[in-house]
Amino acid sequence: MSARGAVLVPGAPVLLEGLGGRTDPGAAVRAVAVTRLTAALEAIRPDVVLVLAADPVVRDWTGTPFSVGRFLGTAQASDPHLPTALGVGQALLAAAGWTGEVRSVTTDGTGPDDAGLGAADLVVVVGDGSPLRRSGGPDRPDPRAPEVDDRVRAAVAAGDTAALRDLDPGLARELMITGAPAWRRLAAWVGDAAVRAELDYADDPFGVFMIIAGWRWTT
Amino acid sequence: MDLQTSLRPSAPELPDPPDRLRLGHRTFPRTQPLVMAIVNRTRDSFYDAGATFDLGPALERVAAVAADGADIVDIGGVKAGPGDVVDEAEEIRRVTGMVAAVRASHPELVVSVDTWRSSVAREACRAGADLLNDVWAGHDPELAGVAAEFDVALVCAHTGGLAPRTGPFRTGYDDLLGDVVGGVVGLARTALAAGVASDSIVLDPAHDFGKNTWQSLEVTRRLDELTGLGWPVLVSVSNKDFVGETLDLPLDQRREGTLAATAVCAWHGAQIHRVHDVAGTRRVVDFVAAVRGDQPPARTVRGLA
Repeated sequence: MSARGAVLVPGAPVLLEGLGGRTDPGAAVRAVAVTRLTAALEAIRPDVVLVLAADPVVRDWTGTPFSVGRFLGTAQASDPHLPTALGVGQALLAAAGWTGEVRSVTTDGTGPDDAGLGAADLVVVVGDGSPLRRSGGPDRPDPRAPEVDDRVRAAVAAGDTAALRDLDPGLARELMITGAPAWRRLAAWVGDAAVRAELDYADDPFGVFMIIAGWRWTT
Repeated sequence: MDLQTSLRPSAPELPDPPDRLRLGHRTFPRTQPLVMAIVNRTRDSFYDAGATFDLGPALERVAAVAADGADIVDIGGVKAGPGDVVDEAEEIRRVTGMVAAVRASHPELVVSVDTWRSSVAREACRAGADLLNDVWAGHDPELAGVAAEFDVALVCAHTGGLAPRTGPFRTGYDDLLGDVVGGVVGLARTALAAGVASDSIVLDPAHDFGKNTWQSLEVTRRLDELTGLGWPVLVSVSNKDFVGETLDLPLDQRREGTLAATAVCAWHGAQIHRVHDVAGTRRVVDFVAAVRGDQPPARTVRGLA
Protein backbone atom coordinates (compact mmCIF):
# COMPACT_ATOMS: atom_id res chain seq x y z
CA MET A 1 0.00 0.00 0.00
CA SER A 2 1.12 3.55 -0.57
CA ALA A 3 -0.17 6.79 0.81
CA ARG A 4 -1.52 9.14 -1.80
CA GLY A 5 -2.49 12.73 -1.53
CA ALA A 6 -4.04 15.57 -3.43
CA VAL A 7 -4.24 19.28 -2.79
CA LEU A 8 -7.00 21.22 -4.49
CA VAL A 9 -6.07 24.84 -5.16
CA PRO A 10 -7.53 27.76 -7.13
CA GLY A 11 -6.22 28.60 -10.58
CA ALA A 12 -6.89 32.34 -10.76
CA PRO A 13 -3.93 34.43 -11.95
CA VAL A 14 -4.76 37.07 -9.33
CA LEU A 15 -3.15 34.70 -6.80
CA LEU A 16 0.24 35.13 -8.44
CA GLU A 17 2.45 37.42 -6.42
CA GLY A 18 2.59 40.81 -8.12
CA LEU A 19 -0.17 40.20 -10.61
CA GLY A 20 -2.82 41.51 -8.22
CA GLY A 21 -1.13 44.90 -8.01
CA ARG A 22 0.35 46.85 -5.10
CA THR A 23 -2.28 45.83 -2.58
CA ASP A 24 -1.87 42.10 -3.42
CA PRO A 25 -5.54 41.18 -3.00
CA GLY A 26 -4.79 37.49 -3.55
CA ALA A 27 -2.40 37.26 -0.60
CA ALA A 28 -4.84 35.75 1.90
CA VAL A 29 -6.08 33.00 -0.39
CA ARG A 30 -2.56 32.32 -1.60
CA ALA A 31 -1.41 31.90 2.00
CA VAL A 32 -4.07 29.27 2.68
CA ALA A 33 -3.10 27.33 -0.44
CA VAL A 34 0.61 27.50 0.35
CA THR A 35 0.00 26.35 3.93
CA ARG A 36 -1.93 23.31 2.72
CA LEU A 37 0.71 22.50 0.08
CA THR A 38 3.51 22.81 2.63
CA ALA A 39 1.73 20.40 4.98
CA ALA A 40 1.09 17.91 2.19
CA LEU A 41 4.72 17.99 1.03
CA GLU A 42 5.92 17.35 4.58
CA ALA A 43 3.46 14.54 5.20
CA ILE A 44 3.84 12.69 1.91
CA ARG A 45 7.46 13.50 0.96
CA PRO A 46 6.84 12.81 -2.73
CA ASP A 47 9.53 12.13 -5.30
CA VAL A 48 7.45 13.72 -8.03
CA VAL A 49 4.58 16.16 -7.81
CA LEU A 50 2.00 16.20 -10.55
CA VAL A 51 0.16 19.43 -11.31
CA LEU A 52 -3.19 18.74 -12.98
CA ALA A 53 -5.62 21.21 -14.55
CA ALA A 54 -8.41 21.18 -17.10
CA ASP A 55 -7.88 22.21 -20.71
CA PRO A 56 -9.43 21.22 -24.03
CA VAL A 57 -5.93 20.25 -25.15
CA VAL A 58 -4.91 17.13 -23.24
CA ARG A 59 -1.17 16.77 -23.03
CA ASP A 60 1.92 16.68 -20.90
CA TRP A 61 3.18 20.26 -20.56
CA THR A 62 6.23 19.47 -18.46
CA GLY A 63 9.01 21.92 -19.30
CA THR A 64 6.79 24.49 -21.02
CA PRO A 65 7.40 28.01 -19.69
CA PHE A 66 4.63 30.08 -18.10
CA SER A 67 4.24 33.66 -19.29
CA VAL A 68 2.95 36.19 -16.79
CA GLY A 69 3.65 38.73 -19.51
CA ARG A 70 0.55 37.51 -21.35
CA PHE A 71 -1.55 39.01 -18.54
CA LEU A 72 0.59 42.12 -18.22
CA GLY A 73 0.29 42.89 -21.91
CA THR A 74 4.08 42.74 -22.28
CA ALA A 75 4.55 39.31 -23.84
CA GLN A 76 6.01 39.30 -27.33
CA ALA A 77 6.70 35.66 -28.09
CA SER A 78 4.22 33.44 -29.80
CA ASP A 79 5.76 30.23 -28.49
CA PRO A 80 3.52 27.62 -26.86
CA HIS A 81 2.71 28.72 -23.34
CA LEU A 82 1.70 26.82 -20.25
CA PRO A 83 -2.06 26.91 -19.60
CA THR A 84 -2.82 29.45 -16.90
CA ALA A 85 -4.07 27.03 -14.27
CA LEU A 86 -0.91 24.93 -14.52
CA GLY A 87 1.18 28.08 -14.18
CA VAL A 88 -0.69 29.12 -11.06
CA GLY A 89 -0.40 25.61 -9.60
CA GLN A 90 3.34 25.53 -10.23
CA ALA A 91 3.78 28.96 -8.67
CA LEU A 92 1.88 27.95 -5.53
CA LEU A 93 3.95 24.78 -5.30
CA ALA A 94 7.15 26.78 -5.58
CA ALA A 95 5.90 29.18 -2.92
CA ALA A 96 5.46 26.14 -0.64
CA GLY A 97 9.16 25.43 -1.05
CA TRP A 98 9.05 22.52 -3.51
CA THR A 99 12.19 22.37 -5.66
CA GLY A 100 11.88 18.77 -6.77
CA GLU A 101 10.53 17.27 -9.94
CA VAL A 102 7.23 18.60 -11.26
CA ARG A 103 5.16 17.19 -14.05
CA SER A 104 2.37 19.32 -15.48
CA VAL A 105 -0.52 17.79 -17.37
CA THR A 106 -3.94 18.82 -18.58
CA THR A 107 -7.11 16.79 -18.76
CA ASP A 108 -10.54 17.17 -20.27
CA GLY A 109 -11.97 15.02 -17.49
CA THR A 110 -12.12 11.82 -19.51
CA GLY A 111 -9.80 9.06 -20.56
CA PRO A 112 -7.74 6.40 -18.88
CA ASP A 113 -5.02 7.04 -16.36
CA ASP A 114 -2.44 8.06 -18.92
CA ALA A 115 -1.81 11.50 -17.48
CA GLY A 116 0.83 10.25 -15.08
CA LEU A 117 -1.54 10.18 -12.14
CA GLY A 118 -0.56 6.62 -11.31
CA ALA A 119 3.11 7.56 -10.91
CA ALA A 120 2.54 10.50 -8.58
CA ASP A 121 2.31 10.39 -4.80
CA LEU A 122 1.00 13.94 -4.66
CA VAL A 123 -1.16 15.68 -7.21
CA VAL A 124 -1.97 19.37 -7.14
CA VAL A 125 -5.38 19.78 -8.75
CA VAL A 126 -5.92 23.31 -10.00
CA GLY A 127 -9.35 24.71 -10.74
CA ASP A 128 -12.19 26.89 -9.59
CA GLY A 129 -15.94 26.99 -9.26
CA SER A 130 -18.23 29.37 -11.07
CA PRO A 131 -17.48 33.07 -11.79
CA LEU A 132 -21.18 33.63 -12.49
CA ARG A 133 -22.40 33.76 -8.89
CA ARG A 134 -23.08 37.48 -8.85
CA SER A 135 -22.92 40.60 -11.01
CA GLY A 136 -19.53 41.92 -12.03
CA GLY A 137 -18.38 38.66 -13.58
CA PRO A 138 -17.51 37.84 -17.19
CA ASP A 139 -21.16 37.14 -18.06
CA ARG A 140 -24.63 37.46 -16.62
CA PRO A 141 -25.04 35.86 -13.16
CA ASP A 142 -26.47 32.37 -13.34
CA PRO A 143 -28.85 31.48 -10.49
CA ARG A 144 -27.72 27.84 -10.66
CA ALA A 145 -24.11 28.70 -9.84
CA PRO A 146 -24.25 28.96 -6.01
CA GLU A 147 -26.03 25.62 -5.62
CA VAL A 148 -23.61 23.77 -7.88
CA ASP A 149 -20.63 25.37 -6.16
CA ASP A 150 -22.08 24.29 -2.83
CA ARG A 151 -22.34 20.71 -4.09
CA VAL A 152 -18.67 20.87 -5.02
CA ARG A 153 -17.80 22.23 -1.60
CA ALA A 154 -19.71 19.43 0.11
CA ALA A 155 -18.14 16.76 -2.07
CA VAL A 156 -14.62 18.04 -1.53
CA ALA A 157 -15.15 18.42 2.21
CA ALA A 158 -16.43 14.85 2.47
CA GLY A 159 -13.94 13.28 0.10
CA ASP A 160 -16.95 12.19 -1.95
CA THR A 161 -15.45 11.01 -5.23
CA ALA A 162 -18.81 9.84 -6.56
CA ALA A 163 -20.29 13.33 -6.24
CA LEU A 164 -17.33 14.87 -8.07
CA ARG A 165 -17.55 12.26 -10.83
CA ASP A 166 -21.27 13.05 -11.17
CA LEU A 167 -20.71 16.75 -11.90
CA ASP A 168 -22.54 17.31 -15.18
CA PRO A 169 -19.91 18.40 -17.75
CA GLY A 170 -22.37 20.47 -19.77
CA LEU A 171 -23.68 22.32 -16.75
CA ALA A 172 -20.14 22.89 -15.52
CA ARG A 173 -19.22 24.44 -18.87
CA GLU A 174 -22.30 26.68 -18.82
CA LEU A 175 -21.34 27.87 -15.34
CA MET A 176 -17.68 28.30 -16.37
CA ILE A 177 -16.54 25.95 -13.57
CA THR A 178 -12.92 25.56 -14.62
CA GLY A 179 -12.14 22.90 -12.02
CA ALA A 180 -14.78 20.38 -13.02
CA PRO A 181 -12.81 18.24 -15.50
CA ALA A 182 -9.77 18.07 -13.24
CA TRP A 183 -11.87 17.21 -10.17
CA ARG A 184 -13.62 14.47 -12.14
CA ARG A 185 -10.24 13.11 -13.20
CA LEU A 186 -9.03 13.16 -9.60
CA ALA A 187 -12.17 11.38 -8.45
CA ALA A 188 -11.72 8.70 -11.09
CA TRP A 189 -8.13 8.15 -10.01
CA VAL A 190 -8.98 7.91 -6.30
CA GLY A 191 -11.80 5.53 -7.11
CA ASP A 192 -13.41 3.85 -4.10
CA ALA A 193 -10.56 4.45 -1.66
CA ALA A 194 -11.59 5.99 1.63
CA VAL A 195 -10.55 9.63 1.58
CA ARG A 196 -9.57 11.70 4.58
CA ALA A 197 -10.50 15.21 3.52
CA GLU A 198 -9.71 18.55 5.10
CA LEU A 199 -11.40 21.65 3.69
CA ASP A 200 -9.38 24.82 4.25
CA TYR A 201 -11.25 27.38 2.18
CA ALA A 202 -14.47 27.75 0.18
CA ASP A 203 -15.50 31.27 -0.80
CA ASP A 204 -15.77 33.73 -3.69
CA PRO A 205 -13.56 36.68 -2.72
CA PHE A 206 -13.43 38.01 -6.28
CA GLY A 207 -16.74 36.68 -7.55
CA VAL A 208 -15.19 33.31 -8.48
CA PHE A 209 -15.79 30.32 -6.20
CA MET A 210 -12.44 29.12 -4.90
CA ILE A 211 -11.78 25.98 -2.93
CA ILE A 212 -8.68 24.77 -1.09
CA ALA A 213 -8.49 21.32 0.46
CA GLY A 214 -6.25 18.39 1.16
CA TRP A 215 -7.09 14.76 0.49
CA ARG A 216 -5.26 11.68 1.77
CA TRP A 217 -6.04 8.06 0.95
CA THR A 218 -4.32 4.70 0.96
CA THR A 219 -4.07 2.34 -1.98
CA MET B 1 7.03 62.03 -48.56
CA ASP B 2 8.60 63.96 -45.69
CA LEU B 3 10.93 62.31 -43.20
CA GLN B 4 8.36 62.20 -40.40
CA THR B 5 5.83 60.45 -42.60
CA SER B 6 8.37 57.97 -43.90
CA LEU B 7 9.33 56.96 -40.35
CA ARG B 8 5.74 56.48 -39.18
CA PRO B 9 4.61 52.87 -38.56
CA SER B 10 2.44 51.83 -41.41
CA ALA B 11 -0.45 49.50 -41.95
CA PRO B 12 0.42 48.09 -45.34
CA GLU B 13 -3.03 46.57 -45.67
CA LEU B 14 -4.61 50.01 -45.64
CA PRO B 15 -4.38 52.92 -48.09
CA ASP B 16 -2.73 56.15 -47.08
CA PRO B 17 -4.49 57.61 -44.04
CA PRO B 18 -6.88 60.49 -44.67
CA ASP B 19 -5.98 64.11 -43.97
CA ARG B 20 -9.40 64.87 -42.56
CA LEU B 21 -12.03 63.15 -40.45
CA ARG B 22 -15.55 63.11 -41.84
CA LEU B 23 -18.31 62.10 -39.42
CA GLY B 24 -21.54 62.23 -41.38
CA HIS B 25 -22.50 65.83 -41.98
CA ARG B 26 -19.43 67.29 -40.18
CA THR B 27 -15.80 67.31 -41.28
CA PHE B 28 -12.87 68.00 -38.98
CA PRO B 29 -9.14 68.52 -39.42
CA ARG B 30 -7.08 65.60 -38.11
CA THR B 31 -5.44 67.87 -35.57
CA GLN B 32 -8.67 68.90 -33.86
CA PRO B 33 -9.41 66.99 -30.63
CA LEU B 34 -13.04 65.96 -30.37
CA VAL B 35 -15.07 65.26 -27.26
CA MET B 36 -17.76 62.60 -27.53
CA ALA B 37 -20.37 62.82 -24.76
CA ILE B 38 -21.86 59.57 -23.50
CA VAL B 39 -25.65 59.67 -23.33
CA ASN B 40 -27.12 56.36 -22.25
CA ARG B 41 -30.74 55.38 -22.84
CA THR B 42 -30.36 52.48 -20.43
CA ARG B 43 -31.52 51.65 -16.96
CA ASP B 44 -28.35 49.90 -15.87
CA SER B 45 -25.24 51.38 -17.44
CA PHE B 46 -22.33 51.23 -15.03
CA TYR B 47 -21.90 54.95 -14.44
CA ASP B 48 -25.18 56.78 -14.81
CA ALA B 49 -27.48 53.92 -13.79
CA GLY B 50 -30.57 55.06 -15.65
CA ALA B 51 -30.28 58.81 -15.10
CA THR B 52 -30.95 59.55 -18.77
CA PHE B 53 -33.19 56.64 -19.64
CA ASP B 54 -36.22 58.85 -20.22
CA LEU B 55 -36.13 61.13 -23.25
CA GLY B 56 -36.54 64.36 -21.30
CA PRO B 57 -33.48 63.95 -19.06
CA ALA B 58 -31.55 62.56 -22.02
CA LEU B 59 -32.18 65.67 -24.10
CA GLU B 60 -31.35 67.86 -21.12
CA ARG B 61 -27.99 66.10 -20.92
CA VAL B 62 -27.44 66.71 -24.62
CA ALA B 63 -28.06 70.41 -24.11
CA ALA B 64 -25.69 70.43 -21.14
CA VAL B 65 -22.86 68.63 -22.91
CA ALA B 66 -23.26 70.82 -25.96
CA ALA B 67 -22.82 73.86 -23.72
CA ASP B 68 -19.78 72.18 -22.14
CA GLY B 69 -18.11 71.82 -25.52
CA ALA B 70 -19.01 68.37 -26.81
CA ASP B 71 -18.56 67.79 -30.52
CA ILE B 72 -20.31 64.42 -30.62
CA VAL B 73 -23.04 62.75 -28.60
CA ASP B 74 -22.89 58.97 -28.38
CA ILE B 75 -26.33 57.48 -27.81
CA GLY B 76 -26.44 53.98 -26.39
CA GLY B 77 -29.47 51.80 -25.75
CA VAL B 78 -27.76 48.76 -24.24
CA LYS B 79 -25.37 48.52 -21.32
CA ALA B 80 -21.93 47.38 -22.49
CA GLY B 81 -21.46 44.84 -19.72
CA PRO B 82 -23.51 41.83 -18.67
CA GLY B 83 -27.02 42.71 -17.60
CA ASP B 84 -30.67 42.77 -18.58
CA VAL B 85 -31.46 41.57 -22.06
CA VAL B 86 -32.43 44.37 -24.47
CA ASP B 87 -33.73 43.05 -27.76
CA GLU B 88 -33.41 44.76 -31.11
CA ALA B 89 -36.88 46.27 -31.05
CA GLU B 90 -36.34 47.82 -27.64
CA GLU B 91 -32.90 49.09 -28.58
CA ILE B 92 -34.34 50.70 -31.71
CA ARG B 93 -37.09 52.29 -29.65
CA ARG B 94 -34.58 53.71 -27.17
CA VAL B 95 -32.21 55.07 -29.77
CA THR B 96 -33.93 56.29 -32.93
CA GLY B 97 -36.27 58.84 -31.42
CA MET B 98 -33.35 60.30 -29.54
CA VAL B 99 -31.26 60.50 -32.73
CA ALA B 100 -34.00 62.40 -34.53
CA ALA B 101 -34.54 64.72 -31.58
CA VAL B 102 -30.85 65.60 -31.27
CA ARG B 103 -30.54 66.09 -35.00
CA ALA B 104 -33.40 68.60 -34.82
CA SER B 105 -32.35 70.43 -31.67
CA HIS B 106 -28.55 70.45 -32.13
CA PRO B 107 -27.72 70.40 -35.83
CA GLU B 108 -24.11 71.27 -35.05
CA LEU B 109 -23.51 68.10 -33.09
CA VAL B 110 -22.33 64.82 -34.59
CA VAL B 111 -24.77 62.09 -33.60
CA SER B 112 -23.17 58.74 -32.85
CA VAL B 113 -25.00 55.54 -32.00
CA ASP B 114 -23.34 52.95 -29.77
CA THR B 115 -24.56 49.65 -31.19
CA TRP B 116 -23.26 46.40 -32.59
CA ARG B 117 -26.53 45.51 -34.36
CA SER B 118 -26.95 46.32 -38.05
CA SER B 119 -30.74 46.55 -37.65
CA VAL B 120 -30.38 49.23 -35.01
CA ALA B 121 -27.71 50.98 -37.03
CA ARG B 122 -29.98 51.10 -40.07
CA GLU B 123 -32.85 52.73 -38.16
CA ALA B 124 -30.44 55.12 -36.45
CA CYS B 125 -29.00 56.16 -39.82
CA ARG B 126 -32.49 56.71 -41.19
CA ALA B 127 -33.12 59.00 -38.24
CA GLY B 128 -29.97 60.98 -39.03
CA ALA B 129 -27.00 59.36 -37.24
CA ASP B 130 -23.52 60.35 -38.44
CA LEU B 131 -21.37 57.71 -36.77
CA LEU B 132 -21.77 54.05 -35.82
CA ASN B 133 -19.80 53.27 -32.69
CA ASP B 134 -19.47 49.48 -32.87
CA VAL B 135 -17.43 48.59 -29.82
CA TRP B 136 -18.04 44.86 -30.35
CA ALA B 137 -15.64 44.60 -33.25
CA GLY B 138 -17.87 43.77 -36.16
CA HIS B 139 -19.80 41.06 -34.36
CA ASP B 140 -22.63 41.73 -36.84
CA PRO B 141 -20.97 41.40 -40.24
CA GLU B 142 -23.67 43.52 -41.90
CA LEU B 143 -23.04 46.65 -39.87
CA ALA B 144 -20.18 47.93 -42.03
CA GLY B 145 -22.48 47.69 -45.04
CA VAL B 146 -25.03 49.89 -43.28
CA ALA B 147 -22.33 52.49 -42.65
CA ALA B 148 -21.41 52.39 -46.31
CA GLU B 149 -25.02 52.55 -47.51
CA PHE B 150 -25.74 55.69 -45.50
CA ASP B 151 -22.21 57.16 -45.89
CA VAL B 152 -21.71 57.46 -42.17
CA ALA B 153 -18.55 56.92 -40.16
CA LEU B 154 -17.66 53.64 -38.45
CA VAL B 155 -15.60 52.81 -35.36
CA CYS B 156 -13.43 49.69 -35.67
CA ALA B 157 -12.70 48.39 -32.17
CA HIS B 158 -10.65 45.62 -30.55
CA THR B 159 -12.27 43.29 -28.05
CA GLY B 160 -9.97 40.27 -28.09
CA GLY B 161 -12.73 38.13 -29.57
CA LEU B 162 -15.28 38.58 -26.82
CA ALA B 163 -18.99 38.11 -27.53
CA PRO B 164 -21.13 41.21 -26.94
CA ARG B 165 -21.72 42.11 -23.31
CA THR B 166 -19.18 39.72 -21.85
CA GLY B 167 -16.09 40.52 -19.87
CA PRO B 168 -12.53 39.19 -19.90
CA PHE B 169 -11.89 35.96 -18.00
CA ARG B 170 -8.20 35.30 -17.46
CA THR B 171 -7.43 36.63 -20.93
CA GLY B 172 -3.81 36.56 -21.98
CA TYR B 173 -2.19 37.87 -25.17
CA ASP B 174 0.93 36.59 -26.86
CA ASP B 175 1.34 40.09 -28.33
CA LEU B 176 -1.22 42.55 -27.02
CA LEU B 177 -0.49 45.55 -29.22
CA GLY B 178 0.00 43.30 -32.21
CA ASP B 179 -3.45 41.84 -31.55
CA VAL B 180 -5.00 45.29 -31.10
CA VAL B 181 -3.44 46.84 -34.18
CA GLY B 182 -4.05 43.75 -36.29
CA GLY B 183 -7.64 43.53 -35.12
CA VAL B 184 -8.66 47.11 -35.85
CA VAL B 185 -6.74 47.25 -39.12
CA GLY B 186 -8.51 44.09 -40.22
CA LEU B 187 -11.89 45.63 -39.41
CA ALA B 188 -10.91 48.82 -41.23
CA ARG B 189 -10.02 46.80 -44.32
CA THR B 190 -13.39 45.09 -44.14
CA ALA B 191 -15.12 48.43 -43.79
CA LEU B 192 -13.29 49.87 -46.79
CA ALA B 193 -14.15 46.81 -48.85
CA ALA B 194 -17.80 47.25 -47.85
CA GLY B 195 -17.70 50.82 -49.16
CA VAL B 196 -17.16 52.90 -46.03
CA ALA B 197 -15.31 56.06 -47.00
CA SER B 198 -11.66 56.12 -45.94
CA ASP B 199 -12.08 59.49 -44.25
CA SER B 200 -14.89 58.05 -42.15
CA ILE B 201 -13.05 55.20 -40.43
CA VAL B 202 -12.04 55.46 -36.78
CA LEU B 203 -9.90 52.99 -34.81
CA ASP B 204 -10.52 52.20 -31.12
CA PRO B 205 -8.36 49.99 -28.91
CA ALA B 206 -11.40 49.65 -26.57
CA HIS B 207 -9.87 49.90 -23.12
CA ASP B 208 -11.06 47.10 -20.77
CA PHE B 209 -12.91 45.23 -23.51
CA GLY B 210 -11.30 41.82 -23.38
CA LYS B 211 -8.46 43.37 -21.40
CA ASN B 212 -7.57 43.43 -17.71
CA THR B 213 -6.18 46.53 -16.01
CA TRP B 214 -2.54 45.70 -16.84
CA GLN B 215 -3.45 45.28 -20.49
CA SER B 216 -5.48 48.50 -20.61
CA LEU B 217 -2.55 50.35 -19.06
CA GLU B 218 -0.20 48.83 -21.63
CA VAL B 219 -2.53 49.94 -24.43
CA THR B 220 -2.49 53.44 -22.93
CA ARG B 221 1.29 53.39 -22.54
CA ARG B 222 1.82 52.30 -26.14
CA LEU B 223 -1.12 53.99 -27.81
CA ASP B 224 1.34 55.65 -30.19
CA GLU B 225 1.69 52.26 -31.90
CA LEU B 226 -1.93 52.69 -32.97
CA THR B 227 -2.07 56.45 -33.51
CA GLY B 228 1.21 56.24 -35.39
CA LEU B 229 -0.60 54.47 -38.23
CA GLY B 230 -2.02 57.89 -39.08
CA TRP B 231 -5.69 56.93 -38.83
CA PRO B 232 -8.08 58.66 -36.40
CA VAL B 233 -8.21 56.97 -33.00
CA LEU B 234 -11.06 57.06 -30.51
CA VAL B 235 -10.48 56.19 -26.87
CA SER B 236 -13.10 55.45 -24.25
CA VAL B 237 -11.49 55.53 -20.81
CA SER B 238 -14.07 57.39 -18.77
CA ASN B 239 -14.53 56.00 -15.26
CA LYS B 240 -13.51 52.54 -16.43
CA ASP B 241 -12.38 49.78 -14.13
CA PHE B 242 -8.74 50.05 -15.21
CA VAL B 243 -8.78 53.59 -13.83
CA GLY B 244 -10.50 52.43 -10.67
CA GLU B 245 -8.18 49.46 -10.12
CA THR B 246 -5.05 51.49 -10.80
CA LEU B 247 -5.96 53.94 -8.06
CA ASP B 248 -8.07 51.54 -5.98
CA LEU B 249 -11.02 53.90 -6.17
CA PRO B 250 -14.75 53.30 -6.54
CA LEU B 251 -16.82 54.43 -9.48
CA ASP B 252 -17.65 57.89 -8.14
CA GLN B 253 -14.00 58.82 -7.49
CA ARG B 254 -12.39 58.17 -10.84
CA ARG B 255 -12.55 61.68 -12.35
CA GLU B 256 -8.88 62.57 -11.87
CA GLY B 257 -7.69 59.18 -13.06
CA THR B 258 -9.93 59.46 -16.08
CA LEU B 259 -8.57 62.89 -16.93
CA ALA B 260 -5.02 61.60 -16.50
CA ALA B 261 -5.69 58.69 -18.84
CA THR B 262 -7.31 61.11 -21.26
CA ALA B 263 -4.25 63.35 -21.20
CA VAL B 264 -1.91 60.45 -21.90
CA CYS B 265 -4.06 59.23 -24.78
CA ALA B 266 -4.35 62.77 -26.15
CA TRP B 267 -0.59 63.20 -25.92
CA HIS B 268 -0.17 60.01 -27.93
CA GLY B 269 -2.48 61.45 -30.58
CA ALA B 270 -5.96 60.07 -29.90
CA GLN B 271 -8.45 62.37 -31.63
CA ILE B 272 -11.85 61.39 -30.20
CA HIS B 273 -12.42 61.06 -26.46
CA ARG B 274 -15.61 59.33 -25.35
CA VAL B 275 -16.44 60.58 -21.84
CA HIS B 276 -18.99 61.35 -19.15
CA ASP B 277 -17.28 64.58 -17.97
CA VAL B 278 -17.34 66.76 -21.04
CA ALA B 279 -16.26 70.05 -19.47
CA GLY B 280 -13.18 68.58 -17.78
CA THR B 281 -12.22 66.58 -20.83
CA ARG B 282 -12.62 69.60 -23.11
CA ARG B 283 -10.05 71.46 -21.03
CA VAL B 284 -7.63 68.54 -20.90
CA VAL B 285 -7.65 67.73 -24.61
CA ASP B 286 -7.47 71.38 -25.66
CA PHE B 287 -4.51 71.89 -23.35
CA VAL B 288 -2.72 68.80 -24.63
CA ALA B 289 -3.45 69.88 -28.20
CA ALA B 290 -1.59 73.11 -27.48
CA VAL B 291 1.33 71.22 -25.94
CA ARG B 292 1.44 68.99 -29.02
CA GLY B 293 1.29 72.01 -31.27
CA ASP B 294 -1.90 70.81 -32.93
CA GLN B 295 -3.74 74.01 -32.12
CA PRO B 296 -2.65 77.35 -30.67
CA PRO B 297 -3.51 78.38 -27.10
CA ALA B 298 -6.69 80.38 -26.74
CA ARG B 299 -5.34 83.78 -25.74
CA THR B 300 -1.72 84.80 -25.26
CA VAL B 301 -1.18 88.31 -23.93
CA ARG B 302 1.17 87.89 -20.97
CA GLY B 303 4.66 89.03 -21.93
CA LEU B 304 3.47 90.02 -25.36
CA ALA B 305 1.60 93.21 -24.67
